[in-house]
Amino acid sequence: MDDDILTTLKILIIGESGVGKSSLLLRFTDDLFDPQLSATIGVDFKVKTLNVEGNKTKLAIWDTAGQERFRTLTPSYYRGAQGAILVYDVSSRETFAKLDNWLNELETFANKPDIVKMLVANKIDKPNREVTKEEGLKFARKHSMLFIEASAKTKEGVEIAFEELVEKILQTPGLWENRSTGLNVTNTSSPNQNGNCGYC
Amino acid sequence: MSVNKPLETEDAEDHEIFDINDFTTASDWERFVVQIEELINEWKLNSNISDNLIDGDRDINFENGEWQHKTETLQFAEEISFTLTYYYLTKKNENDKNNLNNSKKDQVKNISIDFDSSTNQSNNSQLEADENSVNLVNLPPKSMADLLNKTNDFQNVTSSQTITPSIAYWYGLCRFLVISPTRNNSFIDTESRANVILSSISIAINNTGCLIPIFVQVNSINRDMYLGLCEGSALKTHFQIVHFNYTPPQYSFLPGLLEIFKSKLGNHLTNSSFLISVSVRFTYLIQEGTFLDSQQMNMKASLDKSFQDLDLVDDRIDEIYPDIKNLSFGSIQDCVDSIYLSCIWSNLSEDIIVDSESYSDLNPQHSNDWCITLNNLLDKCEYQLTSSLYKYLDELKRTISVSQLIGPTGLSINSNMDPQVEELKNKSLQKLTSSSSAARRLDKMYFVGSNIVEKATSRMKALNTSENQLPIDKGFLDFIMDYLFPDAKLRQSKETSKQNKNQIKDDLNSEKFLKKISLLKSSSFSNDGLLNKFVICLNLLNRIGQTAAIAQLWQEFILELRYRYESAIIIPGLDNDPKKQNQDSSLIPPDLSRCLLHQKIQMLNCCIKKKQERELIEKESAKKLDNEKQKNNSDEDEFFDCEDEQPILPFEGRLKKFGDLTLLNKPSEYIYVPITQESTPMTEDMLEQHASVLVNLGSSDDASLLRAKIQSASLLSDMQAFKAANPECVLEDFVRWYSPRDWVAVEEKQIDPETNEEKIIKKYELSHRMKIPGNMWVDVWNNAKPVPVRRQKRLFDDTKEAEKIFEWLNSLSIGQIVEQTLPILFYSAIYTCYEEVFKLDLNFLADPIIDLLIEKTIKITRNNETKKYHDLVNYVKSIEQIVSLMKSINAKFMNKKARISSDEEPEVKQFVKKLLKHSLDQESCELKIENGAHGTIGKLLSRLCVRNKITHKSKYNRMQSNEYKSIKNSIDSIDDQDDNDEIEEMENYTNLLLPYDKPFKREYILRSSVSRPAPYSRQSPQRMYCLINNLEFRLAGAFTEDTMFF
Repeated sequence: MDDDILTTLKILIIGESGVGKSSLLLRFTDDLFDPQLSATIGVDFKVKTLNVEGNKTKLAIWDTAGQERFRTLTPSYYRGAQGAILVYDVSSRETFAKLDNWLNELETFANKPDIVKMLVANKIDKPNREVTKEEGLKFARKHSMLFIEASAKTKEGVEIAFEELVEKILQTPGLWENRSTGLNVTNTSSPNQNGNCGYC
Repeated sequence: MSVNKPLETEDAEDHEIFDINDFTTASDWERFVVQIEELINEWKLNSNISDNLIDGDRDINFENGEWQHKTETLQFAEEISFTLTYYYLTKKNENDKNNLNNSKKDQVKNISIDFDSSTNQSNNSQLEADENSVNLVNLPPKSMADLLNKTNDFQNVTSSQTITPSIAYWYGLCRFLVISPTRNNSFIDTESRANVILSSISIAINNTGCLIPIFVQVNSINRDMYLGLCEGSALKTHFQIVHFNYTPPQYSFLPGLLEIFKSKLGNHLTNSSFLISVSVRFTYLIQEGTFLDSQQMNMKASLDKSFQDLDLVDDRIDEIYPDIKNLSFGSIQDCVDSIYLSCIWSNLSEDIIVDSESYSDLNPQHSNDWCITLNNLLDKCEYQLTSSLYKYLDELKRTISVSQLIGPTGLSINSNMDPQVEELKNKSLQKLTSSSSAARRLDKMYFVGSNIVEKATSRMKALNTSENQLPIDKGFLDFIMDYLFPDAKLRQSKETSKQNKNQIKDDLNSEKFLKKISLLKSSSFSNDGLLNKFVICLNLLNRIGQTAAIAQLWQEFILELRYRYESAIIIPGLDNDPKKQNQDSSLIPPDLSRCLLHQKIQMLNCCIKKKQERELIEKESAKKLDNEKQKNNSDEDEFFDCEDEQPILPFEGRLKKFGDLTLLNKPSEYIYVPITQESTPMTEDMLEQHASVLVNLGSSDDASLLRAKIQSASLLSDMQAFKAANPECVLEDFVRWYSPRDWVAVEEKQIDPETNEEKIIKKYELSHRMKIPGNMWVDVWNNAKPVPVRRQKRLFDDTKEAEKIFEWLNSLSIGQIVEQTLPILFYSAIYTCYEEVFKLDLNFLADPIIDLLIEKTIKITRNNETKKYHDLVNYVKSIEQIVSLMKSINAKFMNKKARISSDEEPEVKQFVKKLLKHSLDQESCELKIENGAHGTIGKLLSRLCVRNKITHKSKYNRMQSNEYKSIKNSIDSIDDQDDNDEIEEMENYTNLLLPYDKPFKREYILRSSVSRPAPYSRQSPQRMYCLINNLEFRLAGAFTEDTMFF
């Protein structure tokens, strides 16, 4: 079954505590919403195989704790991630305001230079919205991220968020490696890498 | 083609009716001729039309064209085979677009040719033939015209860097065919054999109407002798050649050569009836042979010196050992082998120049046509960095362990050791232990002066009885260790050398350099870090002292680390970022962007730091304890068993107040943030291990719970600390500090009993998820006892971690040591390369290679692709070649003696760079010098060469004083500014440059248009090329006769 899998991708979910990171993940992997979900300690981890445009991709999704104190621990797991989902809660301006910190964290600890980032505005089902869609869009544009509004509770936008992210990663040469052939994509995509060392 | 089809069938019918062609008895020779004809037809060289092919390309010359050739095999009588090669000049394609256009044009042309040839074949009438012959008379074949064309004189190299075939060079031909014997075949050694081939050619030419000269190679191949034939327009040119290994004295100058030429033209001619034009090229050897340039000589000397017993001067202690600070760089030999200067005089009239043994009008100073030829040995040179990298990579395959190689901690060596080890040891011993007496003397000096930190080395070595059997002698080892750990000892010489280094640094501190280096992720690319220094030393030791030296230094290095750990002394030079270095208070976790070895040593530093802190606290608490003891002798155990007792102090381990918040149950008490344990620093491999443990649990719900449990240690620690700092606290208090977003406001409507108005009151409570019974947070909270950090179980067990690291370090085999150090070595190599390139301003050439190298290195080091390191060395080699060549060229053209003025400098620099670029493209480059002797470069060369002339003479002739004077006068006449000092200086100048008063090689081209063989014949082109040097004498003549009027 593993044979036809194109590649395995590592994806992070980060953001302030209580914005619904684990709920988004649970909705995506098990299509469930569990109001009883307890606050994540350290990091958690889930796997799902996704079919994007005929390519089977195995996703290893790392869910992290949002609490300040865990931030000494969780960034160690950022290494090797090809994609990152930054989550904020539309009903809490504070979680939106802290996004800058999370981006910084990502810059510092993720070691792949062109990691694909996606901004997810969660909890759009809630009545007391504090952050508008336009603000979210603006932020995403400023930091060249993908943007989507979603609700883990109503299922809206969750699956498409992950799919878009994976598609984008697969389109980025050099970010992932083809498992079946063991060849690095960079070699085929940029010819001058293979070239002999010319002088001029 | 369709036009001549009916004609062909007609022909065929004719044959059928009238005669039968019987080829059954055709001889080998006839078959050979047919083969030549077939090829001529196939290549479309089969009539005068082929000459038109080049019409559109009339303007192609040797300078702007590009040589192409195609080859086919010919068979003569089964067993003898020849090759027929067609050489032709094509327009150099500047870019793809041009290329496309050209090919389109070619297609168009081909169509027209087909049409032409068909009409030609079909028109057999007498009239047409006459017209044709008239045309032929008017237009000699282009190849014959080329003989008189002067634009291609002495053009050795075309602009596209293809080398002109020698036949083309001699005769100025743009297209020709050559029949050569294949290599394994016997060559055409007799005249009769040559004549057989020549007559075949003649037949083929007449049968096909080919206008291109065909040559046959005669005599042994390496003599480059060809006879040839060209026919067309009722003219016939014979190409003939003379080749000797010596120069007949009567023909060694122009008059003799003219005599030969005239005699070949015919006796019927009187001197006045025709004019011979002469073109001449003299080539002077201005540098001969290989030599070491002065800098490299010094390097070599210092290497040799270090192993000799020398009297040492105190302040020059650094100089007796090889340079351990930098990777050695550059070629060992001079990569420029020889330099030639060629001067051309074209189109002179034979009667106006005098050229004889005693006097020649041909003075280089009067030629405006100069070119310089540089022969390089780039491919043959040995490059220090490249070869040391290769040698280091070779060690990868050694699975032998350090202790096997040199015995545990350097103690006596087991005699039953395996032979490989013995062999290695002996080799390295011979190389490195020869300087024991010098070393002993050094030892004395090393140990004078104050020791700031006592070194592990000296302690270990004191016990060591078999010291002499180790590859690195003690003095050198100490020297290296002092360099690696400068805080261990302060020596004056060190400081001075440091200053020197700083100076160099300042020079390089220009913005451009910094910018580039920062591009390289500055932290990893440096030669300053402890590990960079260490690996550079390892590489050096491996280069000069074989494998055992690596083992010994490695062992010594671990000993030093062990000593530092035990004495709680921080290891210096691990973090380049000065900001980080100043933050002594907190742990610096291993930098995961560095290689594993670096991370491990950083981790060790974390352990050392932790140990320092622990020891400090222990000391303080011991002091406290003492104080307490003095006060109250009975309370001895209070700090150690307090878990079971009621704490005497109400709180412990408070860090600071947490805002203005107070405890929910006891509003009089503020909430305090506790002192918490720092998270465990982790190296890459630990992290991977940790992550894989988490991953292997799977992704079920149970697994998630288990993961949370595994990771709850730090949560528990924090809760315990919080409880200790805030007695009587509840989970709500903790959550307010730890996870404020789980402390949520709930709005409640209340009806005010007095006004009956609805009021909204905000109440805070734990979030829903924290209230779920049995959730992890509650569980952990309930299990947490109030324990301050300093009495908690250590989350980061520095003792255990340090031991693990030492175990790892000690377990590495030689190959693994090499593997672990490769990333550092290559980053240092890149740094060195870049530094060298930058110093010489060669970025324009080397940057693409360096960028590629960096890109590849990053990829390889990140993916641990050990096998691919060999590929990287090739890039390093390219850079080393560029830099070495540039250094060599600079030493020759831009030295002090050249006295380049500021006006000239830009032009000279440009010239030097051009020369470099050309030399890199090919082994022997020829470069035109603008304005010859009168240009800037020409003047520079004149200055350099005149000096060399003097130097040479002064060195080898041991001049008499009066001779000296005369020479001095000659200098003064050329260059008034020379003074006595400079002449003396020149005598010591070591460059072995030869004088250029006698040309190394002389070439003449004699040309004329003459009526041959009879006075009433038409005028036809005649040419003779002559080459004279001390190895050979060659005449290549092309003599044309009229075959219509004779």
